[in-house]
Amino acid sequence: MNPLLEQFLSESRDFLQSIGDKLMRLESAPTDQDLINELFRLVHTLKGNSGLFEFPEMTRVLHAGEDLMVAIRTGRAAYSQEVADRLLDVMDFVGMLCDEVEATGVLGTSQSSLSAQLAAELRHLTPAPMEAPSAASALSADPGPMQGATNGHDQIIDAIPEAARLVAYREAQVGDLLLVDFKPDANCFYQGADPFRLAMQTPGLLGGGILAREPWARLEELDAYHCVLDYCILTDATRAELEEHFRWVPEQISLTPVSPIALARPQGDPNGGPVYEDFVSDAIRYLNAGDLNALERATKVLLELSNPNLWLSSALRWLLAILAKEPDLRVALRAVIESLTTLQPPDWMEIQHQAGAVVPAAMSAAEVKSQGPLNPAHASLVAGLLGRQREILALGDGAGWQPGRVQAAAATVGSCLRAGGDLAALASFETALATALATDAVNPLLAWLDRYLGSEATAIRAEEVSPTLTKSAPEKQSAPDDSSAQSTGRADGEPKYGRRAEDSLGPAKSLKVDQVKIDRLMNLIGEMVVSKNALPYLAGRAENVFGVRELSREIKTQYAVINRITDEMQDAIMQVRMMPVSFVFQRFPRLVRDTSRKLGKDVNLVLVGEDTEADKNIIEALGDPLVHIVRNSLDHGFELPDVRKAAGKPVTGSLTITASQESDRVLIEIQDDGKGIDPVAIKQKAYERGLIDEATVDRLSDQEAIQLIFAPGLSTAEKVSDLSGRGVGMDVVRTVIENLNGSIHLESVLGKGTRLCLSLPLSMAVTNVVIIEADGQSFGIPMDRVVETVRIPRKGIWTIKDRQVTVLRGRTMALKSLNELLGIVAAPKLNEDGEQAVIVVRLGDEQVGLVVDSFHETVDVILKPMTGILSGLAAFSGSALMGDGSVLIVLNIKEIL
Amino acid sequence: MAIEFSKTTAVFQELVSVDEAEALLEWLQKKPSAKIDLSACTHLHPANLQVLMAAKAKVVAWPSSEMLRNWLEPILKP
Repeated sequence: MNPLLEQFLSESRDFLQSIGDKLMRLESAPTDQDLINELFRLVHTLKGNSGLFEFPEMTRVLHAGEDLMVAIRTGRAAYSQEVADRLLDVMDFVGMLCDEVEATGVLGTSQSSLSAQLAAELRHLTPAPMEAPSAASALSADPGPMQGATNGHDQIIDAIPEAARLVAYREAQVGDLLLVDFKPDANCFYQGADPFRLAMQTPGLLGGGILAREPWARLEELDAYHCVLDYCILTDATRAELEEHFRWVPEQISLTPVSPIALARPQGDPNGGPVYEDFVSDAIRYLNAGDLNALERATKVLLELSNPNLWLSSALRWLLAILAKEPDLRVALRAVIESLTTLQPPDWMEIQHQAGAVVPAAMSAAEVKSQGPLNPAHASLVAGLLGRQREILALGDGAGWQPGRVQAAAATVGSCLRAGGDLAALASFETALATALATDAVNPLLAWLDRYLGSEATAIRAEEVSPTLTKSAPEKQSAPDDSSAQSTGRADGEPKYGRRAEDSLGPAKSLKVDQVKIDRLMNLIGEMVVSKNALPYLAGRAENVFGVRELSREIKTQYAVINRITDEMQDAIMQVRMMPVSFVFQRFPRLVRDTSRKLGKDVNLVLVGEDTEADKNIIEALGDPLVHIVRNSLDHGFELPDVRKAAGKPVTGSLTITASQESDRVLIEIQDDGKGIDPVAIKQKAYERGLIDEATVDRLSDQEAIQLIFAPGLSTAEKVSDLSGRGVGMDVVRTVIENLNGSIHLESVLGKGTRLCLSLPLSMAVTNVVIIEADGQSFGIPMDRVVETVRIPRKGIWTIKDRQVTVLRGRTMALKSLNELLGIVAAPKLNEDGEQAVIVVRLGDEQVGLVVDSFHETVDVILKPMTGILSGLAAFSGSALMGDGSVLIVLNIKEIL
Repeated sequence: MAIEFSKTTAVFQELVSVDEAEALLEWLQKKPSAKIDLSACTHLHPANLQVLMAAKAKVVAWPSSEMLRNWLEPILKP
């Protein structure tokens, strides 16, 4: 399951919960407009979200719900108990769909009809909008009165070209075909639908036609986007397959079973009537005489002589088709022949009605015929099967599953009879079965089987000679339908969608927690980390002060355990606070697109490593600096397409933003292939602004010069635009990044492009500091500033002008006394060997030696920023509580140097 | 452009989308006697189809796809 779907499911449950809640509250305050608005918003959002996935069932009911809410909101409908009931039903239904999706990852079509039904119920409650409903919706809502249905279907059948119908008729296997009447919504083009394609892709498609809904308007007034075409489709797919195919638009289709013979509706030019009366009388004579070959010959001759576009030819073609497929269907043949005199298509419904069940049964007749009488091998097999069923029924051991057993045996017997085509016997068996079920006894069945097995052979033969078909066949056809209807009827009384209000929703898999609570937990874990640090002190005291070595060791063992647990706790809380950088990245595609369009530049953005994670605070703080950088790059970095072309570069510039993790730091790299930064121009500008002096201009290397863009008050753009170029930007970026304990690194090659690397800690919660001592006080220095610690002998320190310097591995390094910087009057202490303790710290690209009294260990501390009056002291970045209860002040190296 | 309009003939190319219907309608309004060549057409959105039907446009070449042709011929044939 993809993360988007997971999020959707978790959100949907929240929405359903609050929708249920709002509905409850509305019961007591049905006119509360705010509640109604809120409810509408929830339903609307949920619907919109569901549209992201292929859940038409869900979207459909929610859409209906939304429409109802609109009606209530605008006062067209009143909020009532019934509305609430329906909406709660819908929410339960949606909840059930969510369960299904969660369990299987997809949404089956099994709920399609239920969804359509729920939607229809909601629509029923929704009053129509003020403007009259369009003709199309009226059409789709009302399938037409029953008596009109026949004509309607004939019209639909006529819309399907004869050739397609002939093919369908020939290829139709046993059973009815389905006629799909697909009436797309009039506005469906605006929803991106292509009903023609949908119709053409119908499963089992045998043929189809297109009908215009209304006479064509004058071309000048035609609205090309108002859908007026209906589709008539003939298919041999099953109902379920069609429901699946049209699952998005179940309300726009109607399915009608048609027997293949009903397709035989000749079409064409009716000119040339009575001339063929001879043929009609001959044909009827052949038919009565049973000389089908002569009939076929005569038909073929006449067909060859006739213009293929005539109505007559069409009828003859049908005649041939029926002769080829169902030559025994005399009634049908006669009807087609007789239609030649009237030039009216045979009314199959009427013929069917008059001849009893001839037309639908015609298929069964053909079926029976085609299978013929059972051959002896099959007959004995059937007899064996029936005998076995009798044995099973006769068991009579009163087992609890007796009813099921009866059903199973009855099903087998029924199938045997159907396979043998013994419909009369089937009818009597059904009666026996009904009696058996009613009286809860197997005797009627046993009696029937005894009777049947005795007379079986004769029964089959009798059936063979008299193909008269009883009306029982269709009745039996409908029997299973009735039972299924009953079962759905029963289902209505049962708990809907498998849930009730009292059902618990099951354990939720994710929680939403206020960030304050997470922060509190993090602080507590932080304190735990600090207090665990007290244990080594305690162990030390036990050993040194009280002299209990044993206890000291035990404390250390316990410390190791607690240490491991707190580490894991810390890791766990960090995981909770982690967010992917995509949170920041997601705004860039739009930003780059809009900005580059505004500037007339052509830039392609590539994002890499969006799933890299870092602490929430870091990610959130990263947003603005990155936007600054990207804007700068778009504005100053990329050239206009013409310039790029002239320089031999691809016209489309490429901006790549990469995020990656390197041990405990997140690296973000922004690289463009623009014109790069011109060090000479930068130096010039910096000099003009008085940021550097003349000597520095000469001294600075190119790479050093481009770092000047981070200097406050420097802008390289020739003119100030609304995007960038006001000289605030890169210095702000650097400040923000450094406040996050991050660093920023810039490389640029003139004409080739610029690369900016940001390096940020994964988390800001715990800071690693080294403890140093100055004049008896302890201070912390963040480890990420520290390069190394060295001891330098007194004589290794020189004084140039009034500054102290030393040479460390061949490099000159400035030395500064921490005491002096902090305004402590005491001189730095030397150790026994007369050496100065120097801690080398990084300051931008430079290294500076800090002279201190002595170094201590490094510790993990939770750095608390200074508050109140103390927050004005920039020299300190914060304070931390030590394991022994003392307070450690952590220095802000950048500020004091 | 999925429809190429020449002086008297509109040639439908491959897949003709819903967006083309507006242009087709305008063109047919100006040239009521225009001819339509569908031979290279593999599918056309019904918006185009209903424009052709309403304009009673004269189709001079049918799609090579038999299935599409079977659908279109009965309704577009004069």
